[in-house]
Amino acid sequence: MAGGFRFIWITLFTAVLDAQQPIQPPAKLESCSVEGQLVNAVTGEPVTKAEITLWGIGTARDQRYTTTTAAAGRFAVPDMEPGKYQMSARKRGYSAADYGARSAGRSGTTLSLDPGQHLSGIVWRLSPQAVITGHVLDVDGEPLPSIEVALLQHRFERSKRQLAFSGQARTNDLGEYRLFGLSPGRYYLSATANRMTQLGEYDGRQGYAPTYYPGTSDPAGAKAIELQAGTLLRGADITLTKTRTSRVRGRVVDPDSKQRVQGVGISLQRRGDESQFIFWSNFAYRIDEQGNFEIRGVVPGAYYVEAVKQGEGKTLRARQPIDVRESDVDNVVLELQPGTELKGQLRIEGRAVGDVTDEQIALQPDDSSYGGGVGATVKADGSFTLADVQPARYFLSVYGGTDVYYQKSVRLGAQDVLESGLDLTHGVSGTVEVVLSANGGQIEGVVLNANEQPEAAATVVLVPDEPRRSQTRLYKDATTDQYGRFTIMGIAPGGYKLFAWEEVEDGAYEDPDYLKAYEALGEPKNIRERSRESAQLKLIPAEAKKVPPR
Amino acid sequence: MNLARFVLLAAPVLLVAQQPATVSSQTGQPQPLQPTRPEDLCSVEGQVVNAVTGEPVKKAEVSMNGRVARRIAVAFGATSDATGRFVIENVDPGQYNLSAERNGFVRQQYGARGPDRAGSPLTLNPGQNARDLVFRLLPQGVITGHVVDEDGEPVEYAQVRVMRYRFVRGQRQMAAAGNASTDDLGEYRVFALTPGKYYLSATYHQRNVMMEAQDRTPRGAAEEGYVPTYFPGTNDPAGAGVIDVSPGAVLSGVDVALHKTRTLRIRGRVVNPLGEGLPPFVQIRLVSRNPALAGLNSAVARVVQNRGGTFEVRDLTPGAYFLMAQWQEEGKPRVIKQPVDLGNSNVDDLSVPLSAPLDVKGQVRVDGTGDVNLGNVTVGLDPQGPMFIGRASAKLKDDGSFALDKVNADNYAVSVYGLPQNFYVKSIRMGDVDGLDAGLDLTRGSAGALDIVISPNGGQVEGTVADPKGQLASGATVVLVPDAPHREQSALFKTVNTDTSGHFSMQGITPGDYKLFAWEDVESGAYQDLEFLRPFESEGESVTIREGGRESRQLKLIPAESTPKSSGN
Repeated sequence: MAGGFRFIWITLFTAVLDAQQPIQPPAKLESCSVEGQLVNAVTGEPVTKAEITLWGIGTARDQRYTTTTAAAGRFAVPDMEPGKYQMSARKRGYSAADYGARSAGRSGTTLSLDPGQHLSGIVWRLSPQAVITGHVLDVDGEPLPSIEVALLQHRFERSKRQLAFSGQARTNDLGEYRLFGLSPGRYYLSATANRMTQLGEYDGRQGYAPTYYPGTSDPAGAKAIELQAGTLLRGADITLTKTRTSRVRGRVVDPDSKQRVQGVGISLQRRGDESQFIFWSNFAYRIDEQGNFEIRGVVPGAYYVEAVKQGEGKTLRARQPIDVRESDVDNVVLELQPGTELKGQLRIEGRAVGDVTDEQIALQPDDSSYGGGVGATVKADGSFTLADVQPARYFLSVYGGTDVYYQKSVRLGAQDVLESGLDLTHGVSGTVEVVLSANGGQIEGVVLNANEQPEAAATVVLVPDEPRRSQTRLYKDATTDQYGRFTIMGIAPGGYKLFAWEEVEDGAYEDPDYLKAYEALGEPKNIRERSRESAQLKLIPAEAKKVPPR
Repeated sequence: MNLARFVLLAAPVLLVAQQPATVSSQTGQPQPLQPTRPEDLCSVEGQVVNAVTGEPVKKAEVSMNGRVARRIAVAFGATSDATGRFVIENVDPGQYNLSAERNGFVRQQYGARGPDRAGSPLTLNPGQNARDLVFRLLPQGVITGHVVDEDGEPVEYAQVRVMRYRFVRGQRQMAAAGNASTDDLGEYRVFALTPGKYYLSATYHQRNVMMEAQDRTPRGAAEEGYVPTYFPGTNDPAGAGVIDVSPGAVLSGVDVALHKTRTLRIRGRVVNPLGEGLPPFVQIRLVSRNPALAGLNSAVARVVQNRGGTFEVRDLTPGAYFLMAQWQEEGKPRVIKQPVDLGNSNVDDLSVPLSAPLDVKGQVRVDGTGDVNLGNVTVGLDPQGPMFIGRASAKLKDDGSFALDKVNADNYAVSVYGLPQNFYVKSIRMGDVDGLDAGLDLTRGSAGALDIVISPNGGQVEGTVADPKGQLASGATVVLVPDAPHREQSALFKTVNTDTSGHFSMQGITPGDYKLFAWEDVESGAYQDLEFLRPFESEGESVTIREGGRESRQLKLIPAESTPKSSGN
């Protein structure tokens, strides 16, 4: 889920940029075009009425084009701005794919279009979809309606390989669900009863816990489902069993009211399990004037219990992690605290003050299962204000025209927090000062395969040297274009290694265990301010892919 | 109605435990949450049966959502056994909403006349055992079919909506009753439908709504696109066919073919009249000005954001619309609406100024003297018109003042909630404007502070309802309807259900002339529709309420058979 969120973040921020830029005069550059044919990867038959989308990256990032394949699966996108693009296709009965991607979810080939270039003769093979259908049943074998069935896959999230959400369906009154448009791969399923009404105590203290296919509440016991192109898997049935529920008791402390606790809402939020796409659960609870509360009907699991008080233009919150097993949880103390305002200043080296236009600042909590990120637009004078920042540890990101910039320094008051992140667990003191630099290094290069031929759609990754491997912001990646070329910009000075994979899972290289096996295949690069490097990389073939650790 | 209340309860952030305005003792250390004394615990027993066959329904889930002494949320439940019987034990005393549901049936509220009617709460006194509660569940209706395109190919992710007429603020409005999305076979299935008359529409789903892509698909001169198609095959909601769903019916083969038609577009630009920057995101939607269609989002074609505040809404059909622009400003939702008329040609260069918000301040004063706790009073501004978007409300401060920040420039009805027992709103004024009768026009700014006077001397009326056989009728809906000149003021309408002995009482009534009606079965809000009310006019019992007055009336029940349903025509 964090991966999904990250994607949305970025998409949103890109849209913000679009909204804020003045309309530009029409480009004088010679226009380009892309032409090709879409065919069924298995039968070779043309795929008609497919939706083709091209979106620009780098300098062309404001450009987006779409068309529909016609007879014989042919498509043509005339009248394009020059630049670099990625291309995707969608068609009922096929899995959605990027052009040139090694497998679902990977980046495809970058298409480089020089002014006036007409790229034609593309033959694009689209894989037929896989489908999973089944029923969700109770212990008597009767259908359960309106159950959320989540499709899960192992993904690297925050340097760890874990089960992550990658799609969902809902059962009908026959208990049936159907997950379609799936790409080949290994999947897992979970089913969750997500009631419209408040959860409470049923039949004494019984409730449905989230259950993995074919019928276990333990993620480790989930059974893998292997899908090939065109697989129609029927009968993936899940039986939900009731389990004993617990109560959670504690006290809310409100610094604003010494005598009575009023207007406080309490909720439970699932914690630490990226495969659970249900973040909020509406459990029944009671609370008295002293702030004593009791939540009922809680199925076993890891949660955050959160108290929120809204009013008078401010929000107070408190949050505690809890683990609910068989017994009740007592003595949870939730001390309400107001969110604070964090002011800051962004400066870009090499650009005048008053000329900051594109940037967005975001604070992302270092615990990904807590959705408490905040963002702000940087004003023209470089100032920004992050409102309602809750106590937590955060990392600061800057979005915008930043692929040419790198974070040179981040200071909170007198403290250097570039590497450590912002520890705001005890509130905010001081302002943030962020310095971006346009004087980062740049690497241009080409990837060659075993036959010394340029390799398109290879994933090139720049990995920082130890001890900076925990600094996510220093990792940079790019996909090679149709000529096997790549460009990486805005590199912070320091030591790195460059890798070129034929096939690598997104984010896998941030996992030290994963990277260990490839260490010797990396090309060392030392980057200084303004350095312009070139590189010729050897492709790490897909066959050499190690089985990633679970 | 009740569904809305449920949603509110279920939204965690909104779920707020409100306390009564009593002053608590200030004694020492807080005690842990007191469990109910064992002898005070209650129980609820009853049976769930099939409303059509009378047979017991096993494995039905009976839920109690409730408020106990201090208005706190609790939920209990039990599953019915093979004989349809259920027992819920160890329940805290308090007031509960009960409902029963079972796959294959329509959810039923306790004490409701039918599946779509409001239930009546069950009050459990300490130690009480409530027995012989009966839930009669109606078997659900199911509508299923395929959505295909002009070539007969299945359409995936098509949005299918099942609709019926309902009364919203006294107006008959088409409203969604269920929805579904088609799978890769073009199949959909809408279930748990209450028996009744429905309409169905299918809409092509644009996958890449976030992206403003330049479409390079070769096409003729006319813009073509997909607009909502109503079963059996029309783009005109007025031509939609009725789908009659009887209890337990599974209507299959309700297929819809989508055809590309010539469509219209609106292009425009969002501007900030103050010349400052624009908010990062502005959502543009089009909502029909036809009140019957205003509840449907189908008129929202596509939201497209672009640089410089320009936007384009495509795939529209001719009609009268409100263009709604929504955005966030310093954490507050903002909305403006402006009328747009689409004839037979595209609209280009539409300017949408994002007007600045107003800060409305005011004071609630009590007519007469006396120390009254107004801690629970909330002043609300409800936008007039078909949409509910942009509501503003504020609680009173200790001195009776209130401040509504960043209110959208719009026309509003002023409402006052949470008044103490038997209070009524005597006057609402802003400068020279009487806001009680006409509402507030804030489109040109605020004309000063809002002055609200409340009086403790509301009128009261109580009485009984008898059916045509002379039997006292429980669960009847008693409605107090203001006299003809005041029927636009929804705040003057009051409604209450008779209790198990056929008795009703209302308090806090604004002095004036009214009529009292007692329906066996009436759709919520129908009585605010003048058309609906006309044939019953002679059955209303006139009553004049004076300041502080108490009236008593015996009412005759209007039987369900003589009450038309909105979905029936």
